Amino acid sequence: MPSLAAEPIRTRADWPDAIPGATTRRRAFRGDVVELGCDVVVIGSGAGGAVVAAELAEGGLDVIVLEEGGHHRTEDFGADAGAAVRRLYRDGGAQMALGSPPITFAEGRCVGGSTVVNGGMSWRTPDKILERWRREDQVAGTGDMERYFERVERFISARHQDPWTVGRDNELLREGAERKGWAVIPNIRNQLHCAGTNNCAFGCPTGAKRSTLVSYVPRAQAFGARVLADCRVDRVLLEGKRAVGVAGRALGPDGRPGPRVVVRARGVVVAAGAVQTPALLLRSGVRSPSGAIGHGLTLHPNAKVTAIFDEPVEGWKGVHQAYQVREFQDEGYLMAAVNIPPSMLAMTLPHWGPALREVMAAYDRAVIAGILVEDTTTGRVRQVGGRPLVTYALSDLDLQRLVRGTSLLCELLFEAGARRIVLPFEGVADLHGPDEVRRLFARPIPREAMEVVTVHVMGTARMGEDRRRHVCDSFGKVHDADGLWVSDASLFPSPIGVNPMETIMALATRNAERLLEGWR
Amino acid sequence: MPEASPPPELPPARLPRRLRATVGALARAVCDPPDDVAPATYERLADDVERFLASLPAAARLGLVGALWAFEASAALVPSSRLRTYSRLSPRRAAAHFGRCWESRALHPLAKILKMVVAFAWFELPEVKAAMGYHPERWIAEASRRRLAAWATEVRRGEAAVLEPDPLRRPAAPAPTEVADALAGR
Ligand SMILES: Cc1cc2nc3c(=O)[nH]c(=O)nc-3n(C[C@H](O)[C@H](O)[C@H](O)COP(=O)(O)OP(=O)(O)OC[C@H]3O[C@@H](n4cnc5c(N)ncnc54)[C@H](O)[C@@H]3O)c2cc1C
Ligand code: SF4
Repeated sequence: MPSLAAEPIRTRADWPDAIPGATTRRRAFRGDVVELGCDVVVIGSGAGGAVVAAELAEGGLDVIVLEEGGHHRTEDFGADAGAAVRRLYRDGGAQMALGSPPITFAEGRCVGGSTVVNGGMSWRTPDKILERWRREDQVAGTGDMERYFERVERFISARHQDPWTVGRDNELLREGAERKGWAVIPNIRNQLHCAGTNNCAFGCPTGAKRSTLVSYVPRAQAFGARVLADCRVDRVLLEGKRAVGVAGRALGPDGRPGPRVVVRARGVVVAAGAVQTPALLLRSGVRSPSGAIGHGLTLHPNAKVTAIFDEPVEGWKGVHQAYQVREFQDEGYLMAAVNIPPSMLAMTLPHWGPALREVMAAYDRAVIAGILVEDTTTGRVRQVGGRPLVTYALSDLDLQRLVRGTSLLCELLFEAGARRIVLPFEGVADLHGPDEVRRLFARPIPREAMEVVTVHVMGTARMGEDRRRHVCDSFGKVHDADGLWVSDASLFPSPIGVNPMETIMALATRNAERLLEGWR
Repeated sequence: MPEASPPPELPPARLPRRLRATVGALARAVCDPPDDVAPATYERLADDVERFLASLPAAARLGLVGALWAFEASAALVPSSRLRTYSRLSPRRAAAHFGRCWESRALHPLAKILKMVVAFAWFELPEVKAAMGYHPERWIAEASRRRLAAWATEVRRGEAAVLEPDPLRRPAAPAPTEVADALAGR
């Protein structure tokens, strides 16, 4: 068994004095500096970072994980969505990719990263995507992913739901799909006897969802990794083209900026997510021969509809996304029922005043369902004034696919018995029957009227073997740099059309394996 | 292992009294609550908006506060308001002013962002959720109890398994060939 005396996760209350192995250098100007040393420092503790950290630590390396967000535990999670978005999400969950329409996106910022707030869908990378990566991006080893998927699935407990956790909203979605004769499958989720509390987006209050907070992070600790929360990395330290550590800042106990932190390491793994990773590389002065750091952002645009039924649905009772409609996967659409709390629904509905009140009064009879599109265009992350600036211009083609996908979803929901559907398009009247679905195509929907959101950001430090096109090699090592790796959603050379967490984790596992092989 | 208490939230970003009133007036227009809502509810709403503001980066926070000021002042520019700012309008006029902004091409983004902030905070208020019959915490408690009653042993076993050693199996270095194959498009 691993060491029972695993180091606890250190938080802002511990900086700087209780950080193991730290020495504080007193400075007359610009504050004290806390210094640490290790073999590999990992930035971020989400799907990519926690997996790399655990594998490297088990492989015998001395690992430090630096996480900008706080450490919140299972007992801290509950139904207060307002508090959860403030504590667990970056910028209160209100980030935006600029463009027409602007696209709201969300990322976790806490120990466990976005895996703490995600829906838990755990899907392997589709074969056609792996094949595309091999063919178009010369990504090596795509034929040998099986064992990485298996390993990840074991540690995160990826499996089907217990049937009694499926709520009425999901059954209605399934019934609608089956009546249409469309393919619909039960989702695989990373859960250990999920209770169906429908609280995944605000932290799992039972610990059933095997986010990295309760899986890979404790595993990393068990093999000796030090996990330091409330510490934001500002720069990767470079000597020439070699990464030699990182510099950042910890939060003080009062939540204000605390001591400066320097971690010296022989290896630096950046796993800060597909928005923060390129921003960090750019502000550190990392140069890629590809010139592509921050380019290639894809984000699986989503749109949601709210369907009102006559029968009680109580969509908050039962796990969300128990099923996925896969009928149109080849065309690049997925559909699922995704209950959200009243606050989030009211915020995003295109109504206000009495019209909003009327829809909200039917909240307990609502099925909220969404469509995810595999996008065909890319956006960009720039670095402006120390913060990332995200731009993304939804293509005409994807816009049409969002409208077509939405109309298909409406057909399904009317088939299931919906009486009224509120669309994600401002200025377009609600639909009251299947005949009205045609209206969606009758006149074009202006871009700015569309409410588009996403929770999947990918592809801003792409992997592949062509250093003129790709930022990283097939195993996450930054081309033309030494001692510097990326291991998160930034690596994807293209969108994958399914939920990305398991792909990120499997890639992180093989990146760690490769790093261990080359470690001297 | 010593257990830390959850990190405290950041202190709320205080709004001036006037803007707290703007938030309340916006909630009346946007969420159309019943007439008998207690004044304390509007105070709690403003507290919640202040907490949300604290979670934003400084530039976004300043932008939102600026948006609230702009909206508050915009009502005074409408001749029929007789120079009253938004929070001083009657509820009927306040709703009409919000509607004008919502329909206006230029002002729609401002109205939309304010609607989003206020509607989110309104429907997070415990009294509003209770009035809707929405009690997720009861469901969480019930479902969690059921889970442990049925699966406690499996859960404990599964949780322990994640800490068991299982070093990565190193394959016999196929990698350079794979890279060469990939480059050759095989
Ligand atoms: C609401 C939501 C629902 C989702 N649902 C699903 C789903 O059901 N299935 C699925 O497969 N995917 C889902 N996803 C997506 C999935 O969770 C992410 O794609 C995945 O977690 C990304 O992994 P990552 O390692 O790239 O980044 P993250 O998991 O986001 O981790 C990055 C970490 O780095 C930290 N960090 C960033 N910058 C710094 C810095 N400068 N210094 C220190 N730390 C830093 C962040 O705080 C964060 O904790 C969802 C995402 C969200 C937000
Ligand atoms: S639905 Fe399941 S996985 Fe999600 S929060 Fe509830 S118990 Fe956890």
